[in-house]
Amino acid sequence: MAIHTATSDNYEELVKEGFVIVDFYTDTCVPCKTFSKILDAIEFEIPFVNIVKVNATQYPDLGEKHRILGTPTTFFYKDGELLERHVGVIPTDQLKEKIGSYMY
Amino acid sequence: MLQQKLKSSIITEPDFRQMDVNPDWLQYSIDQHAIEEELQRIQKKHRQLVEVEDVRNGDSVTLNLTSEEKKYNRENLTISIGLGLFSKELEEQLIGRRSQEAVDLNVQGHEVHVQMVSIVRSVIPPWTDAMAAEERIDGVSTLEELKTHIKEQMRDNLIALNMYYLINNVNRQMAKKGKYHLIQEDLDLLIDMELERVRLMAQSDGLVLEEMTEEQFQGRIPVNSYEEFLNMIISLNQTKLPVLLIAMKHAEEDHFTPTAEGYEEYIANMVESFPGLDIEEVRQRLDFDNYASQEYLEYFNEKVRTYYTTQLQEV
Repeated sequence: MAIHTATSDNYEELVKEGFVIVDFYTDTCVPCKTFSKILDAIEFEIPFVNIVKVNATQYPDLGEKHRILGTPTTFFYKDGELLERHVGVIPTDQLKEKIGSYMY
Repeated sequence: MLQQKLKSSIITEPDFRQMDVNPDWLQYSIDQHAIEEELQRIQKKHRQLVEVEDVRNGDSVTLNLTSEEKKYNRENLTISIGLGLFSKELEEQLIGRRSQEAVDLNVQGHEVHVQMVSIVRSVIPPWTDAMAAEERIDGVSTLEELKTHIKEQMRDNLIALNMYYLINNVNRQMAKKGKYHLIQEDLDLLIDMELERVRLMAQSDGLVLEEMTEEQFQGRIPVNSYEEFLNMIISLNQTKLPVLLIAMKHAEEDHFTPTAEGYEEYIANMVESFPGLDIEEVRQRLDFDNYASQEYLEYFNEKVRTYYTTQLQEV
């Protein structure tokens, strides 16, 4: 499914179907870079998982709308419904557990 | 002007070149394995998904499952073999099965009819210079240049970490070994400046610094309460004031002055890094002196960094 880049216009479309992980990040945030590498590894191991990346600096309206107070913030959606929001880096094993429990 | 505001003074200044520093901070070593890992991470981004005939560990398999057990009664279910995210037992029994094969299995005591639909494997292509170029790093267009870049980046990170500890330690020694005439009023000024900066950052997160709870401090500042934070700031500024006096003295001797352009850039960065802040309010609350104090300290830190960097050795 690969990693998609969200904009203010396509966000809702990207999260409306199936299981989706959304990563809100900013360019200057160091933990965001760590988490981005974790997501790259997840995308390699589980290529059918949908990952959506949102640059909160580039799209402050999306950050404001979703009340993003710090980055990285991760949302887990299933068929458009927000199941969980998490602030901070999620370690790989913990992220896999969440994917397993929400996806199946 | 900060120079006119501060009434404290230096009586004797120790030489920053003569401080006792941990020899470990003047050495670094590059982990070759870490370079290989980083190259592999980049290479994996170029993987190709190919449909294959037999199941191996790591493949993504799409199946139709039929069973009286709800969990194993699914259509078009895609699972990753070996991760155990859906059912480790089922995944293990699928290894070696072929595309389109139908099989009856027992999974955790349940009879499950499995119809294989498709098997997809990630294949990592061999390195090409084009992959290195796609990283869009200035001056990097080949694999060899990328390797050099990764090594340099790792070296820079290690040095930055070593220098962070070294500079903090040198500053503490400068404050301890020198003699100063410190005025409480000056300490209060620095504490207020620091508090105002942190208040703005808290405000950007929708918080009021003085009212922040233990939970709200978590992950932001390593304290459990505002009182604890205040004590930390008071303690830190007792070291900061003498170092600032030294830093200002060095800046004057070297003809270094913080500029109005630098101040505007600092304000713009604050607004960008902490969304939701009004630029005029930031300008009012973080005045030029607040910015200048940080610039002087950074100027002195850079002098310390430059001196000790010349003594660094790769081991």
